[in-house]
Amino acid sequence: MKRVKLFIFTILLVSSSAFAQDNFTLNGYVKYMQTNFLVSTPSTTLLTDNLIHNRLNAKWYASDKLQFSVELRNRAFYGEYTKSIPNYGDLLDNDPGFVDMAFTWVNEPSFILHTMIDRANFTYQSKKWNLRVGRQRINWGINTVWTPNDVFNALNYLDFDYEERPGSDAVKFQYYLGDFSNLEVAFSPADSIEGSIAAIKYGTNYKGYDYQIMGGYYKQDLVLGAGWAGNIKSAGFKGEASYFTHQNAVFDSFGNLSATASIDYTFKKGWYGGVSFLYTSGGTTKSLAGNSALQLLGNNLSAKQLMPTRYTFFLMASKSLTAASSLNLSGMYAPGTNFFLLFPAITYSINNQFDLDFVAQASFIEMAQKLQHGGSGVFARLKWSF
Amino acid sequence: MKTRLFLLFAAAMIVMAMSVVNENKPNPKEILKKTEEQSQGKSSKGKMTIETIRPKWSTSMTLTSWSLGTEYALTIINEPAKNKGIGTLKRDKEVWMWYPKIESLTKLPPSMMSQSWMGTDFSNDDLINQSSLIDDYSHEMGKDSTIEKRTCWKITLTPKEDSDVIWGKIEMWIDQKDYLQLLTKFYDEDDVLVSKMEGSNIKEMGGRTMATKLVMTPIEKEGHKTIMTYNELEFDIDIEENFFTPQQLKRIRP
Repeated sequence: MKRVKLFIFTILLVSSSAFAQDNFTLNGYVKYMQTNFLVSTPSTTLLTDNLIHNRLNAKWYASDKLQFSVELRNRAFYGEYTKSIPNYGDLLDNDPGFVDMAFTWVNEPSFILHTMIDRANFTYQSKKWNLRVGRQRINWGINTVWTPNDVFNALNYLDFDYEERPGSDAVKFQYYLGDFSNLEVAFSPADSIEGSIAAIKYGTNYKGYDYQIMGGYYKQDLVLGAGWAGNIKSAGFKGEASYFTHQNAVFDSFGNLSATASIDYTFKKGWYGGVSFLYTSGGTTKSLAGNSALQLLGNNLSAKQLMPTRYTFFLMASKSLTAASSLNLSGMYAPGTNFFLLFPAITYSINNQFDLDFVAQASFIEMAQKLQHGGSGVFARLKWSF
Repeated sequence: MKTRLFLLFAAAMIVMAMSVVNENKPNPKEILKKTEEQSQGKSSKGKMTIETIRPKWSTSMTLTSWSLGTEYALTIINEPAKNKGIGTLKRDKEVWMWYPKIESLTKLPPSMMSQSWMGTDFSNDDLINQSSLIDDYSHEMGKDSTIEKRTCWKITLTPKEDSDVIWGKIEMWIDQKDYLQLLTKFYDEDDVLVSKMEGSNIKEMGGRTMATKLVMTPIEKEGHKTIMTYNELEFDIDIEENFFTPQQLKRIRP
């Protein structure tokens, strides 16, 4: 059952009443993405798909201290791939948040029209502290690929078409202890305590390094984490780790450890390179056979389990080809499972309003002692920003 | 006693003579200090437009920036809409980028300083002054010349051995009247001229005489340049170190 949508409607109402004012801003974009999926199970098939995607970001600066924000994505899916997934519309309609802000307007087998509100909050800020209530992004991660400290809304690096990343329904209080030291407390409720998250984070800067420690309650687990961002000579050096243990067996057995470290460096000729490593104690080192790799990576991703594999390496290189275009090559490899994924992309900025991107993702998995294709996608995307 | 007095007198004479010599011969560090003070004040706030020009393509953006001395800087993009709110914070040698749409504050590796800033011909270092022209280089005075009808000093800067700077050499021509940086040539480690920056449109802004237009031209790339134009400038504004913090980046309305 859908929850009462009172909260968002209140915010929408307040925001719309502010429409006529200078203190109201509205921006966003319209994207069209053409997709070609090469699905490997049960047999290799090419499925095309289309996505028309509109985003609206509305902000109302009620005063210097009070600000309202609503952001939403309207998406229309149509094509063979949409048709091939049973109950795709129902899957999209499932809002994991506390308040249901997902709306499926049309739910036909080969056409889905869907709206998701992923930010709906108000912020009150004073000199020393701020409070944000509602759907929001709480970004506690430090790294760019894997973020074990990001307990409220872990990101999926492969979901490249979700630039803004999902939000979570929460109350967040931030207190500044100094220029670079701060304390954050956040609580994200669910139907039951068992599904809720509550955590505290302390961040500071010392001798050229940013540090943070965090801990709290995470869906029946207790979590403790820490991270840093600094540099070794002129290369960036970042890392973070979180340890999760069940609330009823805190010291009884080893829980789950999710830890990552990364190094990035910009070379003289404009090449930018990065390497990351992720350890997931709950991950496997055995064959992932029988799973479609892309689906496996997309589903049930959390700070506790950012990859289905135990050891994962990530390598990336990018370069600006011209002022308007850039090339990005990245890949993941998980030893043991012999799973790897290639992720090349070319972006082209036509002008300040229009962008054109070409992206591909290709996965390979060892199955029956043979390396086999595990599903791929090729995406062409045109974006108009306003 | 007499001898002592004489020695004291002689010493005083020598000191005076030395100071006269010093006044005649301009000190490059002093000139650079005055040039920085002229263009940045103790603190400043500016609004500027940056146009990136390529043979078949061009783009522009507007931004607002704040500075305090050469250690602290904060910049936020106002336009275009797709990059609105992206911010850069610099404190001493550390630099962070703020991406408002994902609420992310990312620390940049020092090696990224030499790279193009948002696709322009300016490097990150050019825009946020990460390296210090005064502390990280040794200086040598050259021959005066005339640029924009103004007599300029020429200063050659070579990096000190232990400094982590991006250029092999910099030549700078600075106006002797208002301390305007009218021409700067950047050389790589092999002493090859990489790019030049020219200051023009000299006028009063923020109560000072300023070169309000800066054109950065890469030498070996035909039809490429970046033009930075100051639209508004204020100097010696009431701003302290605690303005240059992540919380301020999040608070500024772009």
